[in-house]
Amino acid sequence: MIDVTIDGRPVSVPPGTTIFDAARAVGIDIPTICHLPPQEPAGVCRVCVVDVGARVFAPACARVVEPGMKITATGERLATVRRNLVELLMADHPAPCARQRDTQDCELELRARELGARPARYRPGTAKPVHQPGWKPSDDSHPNIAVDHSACIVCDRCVRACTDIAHNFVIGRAGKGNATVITFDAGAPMGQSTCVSCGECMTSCPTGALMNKGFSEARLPEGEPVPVEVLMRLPGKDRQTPLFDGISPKFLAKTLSSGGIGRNEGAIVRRTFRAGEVICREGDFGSTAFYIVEGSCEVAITTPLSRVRNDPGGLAGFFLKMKSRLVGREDLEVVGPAALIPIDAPIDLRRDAPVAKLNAGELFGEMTCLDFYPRSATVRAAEDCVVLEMLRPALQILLRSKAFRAQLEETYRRRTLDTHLRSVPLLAGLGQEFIEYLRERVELARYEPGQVICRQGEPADSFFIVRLGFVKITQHRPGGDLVRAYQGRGGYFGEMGLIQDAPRSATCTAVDHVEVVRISADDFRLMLERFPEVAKDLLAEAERRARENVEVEAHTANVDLEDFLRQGLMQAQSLLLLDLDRCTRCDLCVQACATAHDGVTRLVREGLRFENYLVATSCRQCRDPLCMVGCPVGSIRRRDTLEIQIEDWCIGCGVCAENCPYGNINMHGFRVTVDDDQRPGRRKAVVREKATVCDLCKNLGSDQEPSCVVACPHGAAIRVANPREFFAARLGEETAGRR
Amino acid sequence: MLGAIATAFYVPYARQAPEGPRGSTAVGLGFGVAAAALMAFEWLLNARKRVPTWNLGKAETWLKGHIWLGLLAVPLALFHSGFHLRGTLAAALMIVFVVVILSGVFGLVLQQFLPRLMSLAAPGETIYEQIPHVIETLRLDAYEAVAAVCGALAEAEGERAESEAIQSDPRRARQVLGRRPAAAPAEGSAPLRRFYLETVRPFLMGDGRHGPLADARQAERLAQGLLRLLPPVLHDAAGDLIAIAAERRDYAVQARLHRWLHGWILLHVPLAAALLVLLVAHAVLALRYTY
Repeated sequence: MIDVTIDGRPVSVPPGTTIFDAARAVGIDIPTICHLPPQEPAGVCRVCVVDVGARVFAPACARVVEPGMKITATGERLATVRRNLVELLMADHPAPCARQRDTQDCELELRARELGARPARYRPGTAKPVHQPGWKPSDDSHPNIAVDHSACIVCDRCVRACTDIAHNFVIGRAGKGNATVITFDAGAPMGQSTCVSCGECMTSCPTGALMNKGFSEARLPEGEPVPVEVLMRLPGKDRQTPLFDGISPKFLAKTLSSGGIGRNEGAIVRRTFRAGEVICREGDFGSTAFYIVEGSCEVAITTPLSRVRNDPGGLAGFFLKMKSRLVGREDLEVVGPAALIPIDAPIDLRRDAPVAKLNAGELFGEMTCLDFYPRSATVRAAEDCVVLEMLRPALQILLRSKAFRAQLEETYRRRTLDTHLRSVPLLAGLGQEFIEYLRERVELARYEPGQVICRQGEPADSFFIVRLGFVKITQHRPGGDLVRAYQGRGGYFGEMGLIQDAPRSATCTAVDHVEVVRISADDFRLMLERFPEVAKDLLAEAERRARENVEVEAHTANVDLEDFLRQGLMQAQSLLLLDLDRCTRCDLCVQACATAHDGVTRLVREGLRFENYLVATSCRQCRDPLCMVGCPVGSIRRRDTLEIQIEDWCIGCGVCAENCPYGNINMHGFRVTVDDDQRPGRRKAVVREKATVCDLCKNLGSDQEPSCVVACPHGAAIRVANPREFFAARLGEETAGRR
Repeated sequence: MLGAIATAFYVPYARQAPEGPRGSTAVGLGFGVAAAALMAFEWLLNARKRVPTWNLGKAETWLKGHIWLGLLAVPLALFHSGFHLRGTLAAALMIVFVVVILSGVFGLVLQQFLPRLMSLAAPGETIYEQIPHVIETLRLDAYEAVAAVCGALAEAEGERAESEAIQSDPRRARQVLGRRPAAAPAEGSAPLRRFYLETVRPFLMGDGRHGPLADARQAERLAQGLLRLLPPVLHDAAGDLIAIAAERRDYAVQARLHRWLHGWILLHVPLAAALLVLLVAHAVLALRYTY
């Protein structure tokens, strides 16, 4: 840790912390315009300058603390400099700009007012011609975003948002000096550029240069539109603070009402449901979230909690009928993460009784709305209830409300934190007292898709548990990044650096809209001190991951075959290979697989070839298991072993099957009986699907090889635990042979 | 090793037996029982294949046992008979036994090189049972490739109707290329049309072993000739047809090799069943009338 003093207040921060962040840690708010955490600082506006005792002032956003540094962040001298800088920026900015006129929240103009700047003090710079084909001062070509270059102060926030956060690389800069402008695809009108309309630039822009024309033309099919005045008065959960507290009424009116830009009119509607009515059904695709205004709802998984059972054989197996069927749950006693089913709601469902209640003031369907995941559970009105159903633009506005965010966090801390922490196997031993201690100390942080949560090599300052969305963990290697894992809800990361007191060993990036529970380094260390058992398990896990890193490094260093990479074999941890020089195409492997899985084969004797090997269509147990990304109920996962498991609570949405790049997950339809919505009290037969994937025949006995391998009479079917090593060795032999 | 031991027993027995080695002597009967036991064991491989999930060892080990113990049964059977065929039943039994062994050895030899040959000669091989379906798809692809530049072909009415039916069914649309017929034939497309109707289509409808496209070298010559007749803009369509024909040729090779690879079983298994029946009959009759 590094000790510095800011305005006479001592603060201790990890190495690599910027002055801006260090000041925030002690409650000193340094004004800034071009810096928008978590974007990488650019230091272009210089409004955040501070005095570090050097010849010139330093930008707080970009300057990293040094031991013993004495920083002055406030004072008349600094205020004068900052005012001067803002006045210079205002000279090239039409005041009021469109944003200030419409929603009164242009950051530059607000900052100018705050600093007492005189906008007209400096004359505007002489306009210089912009040598960009197709460039226009005002660009209305995009369907959703209006561009006004005259309001742009070239702060670079949109460029960094497009490049670093959204990874779209559409926006850049062109020109020099006063003629510098932002451009889209090197000069194309925004509407004709490769912009994907993610809106990241628009939400990053501090002025009216990039303005929302409306997110979409989408409308909710039914429901009663809610006037903005009613929305503004709508109380939150405490019945006092307005739900949309902190959101400018004019902004809300402009965005959501017909009188404004009109594009999002109807993006939020009020719906009334009678007791027992279905609000949304698991597996359905949708684009809305629900906020319960009155009443309560019951959330449940109605797909049978069952699976295609592996048949262990025996006499019954001898006469086994080749027929798919679902069988009941077998391991209800499972504890830890398997005991809870994560869903797209503030709570997790218990596996032995997957039903729970959602009350007024709670939000569900957030992932479906933000990232278009299938619905994870069926929600019915438990009593007559009123809900707000909203499209993405409305939800995003709601999530910007500090009151609403506080309400969400309060609900999470109260209802879910205990189960969420304990759902992490390594933290299952935490005492209630310590959880109470953490309850108010953990921080909930949100990240946008593509945003980096922590970077390899940075100092480790927190431990993270994923609450919402998926996080990709990558390690930088010579020749490219290697994806190590995806962590969904309940997954955790950041413990290695803290335990080993070393820099971060991997970069963690939000795959979609992610929310993480962040436990500070101090609390994490306190936890380790107070719970030696937890410390022991975490240490063992950290060592296991470190060993794995070393192993991966060794394996990835010696293989660079184009084909090998193209076919994704690098990713495989257990690859079924058929040696075509020995395989007589008798299909006994396929028959064995079908017999072992009650007539449903998970193996198809087709696929890509590598040398004389056929990489059969059978799960590879990838290192980068893309199939796990997007499962709305977390039913596809690894337990503590290598094999991918489809747990019984699969709702058959098919996302995993679509995500598997190798087509190794199949969907199978099964006839099941469910409650008949049309005729209450009666049941009806429907076809539901479940995903199936190779489980390495683990249910047949942990020490037995997969049936496909055992059944091959020619020794052609082999399961290769380490394809990199297997192929590298073979190629080595062949090379030696040619010499 | 077992064969050597059996021979070590047989040689002194054959020298000392007063009437020469016969199946009815104790030692001869012992050889017969051992040979019969091995023949019965040979059937267990089949049973093993039917219960792949039983923890009974790898099928590969069972196959090795099947081969080596089956070969061991040959000297044991000969020692049992004393190298004589006495009686019609015994002669029939021995003949069937020899044929079973030879067919097994033949199959074993085929399995040593045909898989590799199949990989080389039919690199685009598919699952054998899927070949007719894949060929059907090729037939429609070829039609669509030609119709896309020559317009709908009345001569290929079957393909036209089927292609339209599949393209209009969203669940099946991915099964074909999905190209729509051109409104009017492209300039200079007549040779392509003729090539398709006279050469490619009959080849795809046949067994893939007859016609000029069945031979890779002749197909190459035809392709070169066709490309010379076509304007460059139609070369892609011609290339598609040539590739489709090559794929069909691969499937023909695969089917032929597959039949060789598995055809011997049609002889081996029924004869092995007959052998078992004859063996039981031989044992019953021999034991009844000898003792």
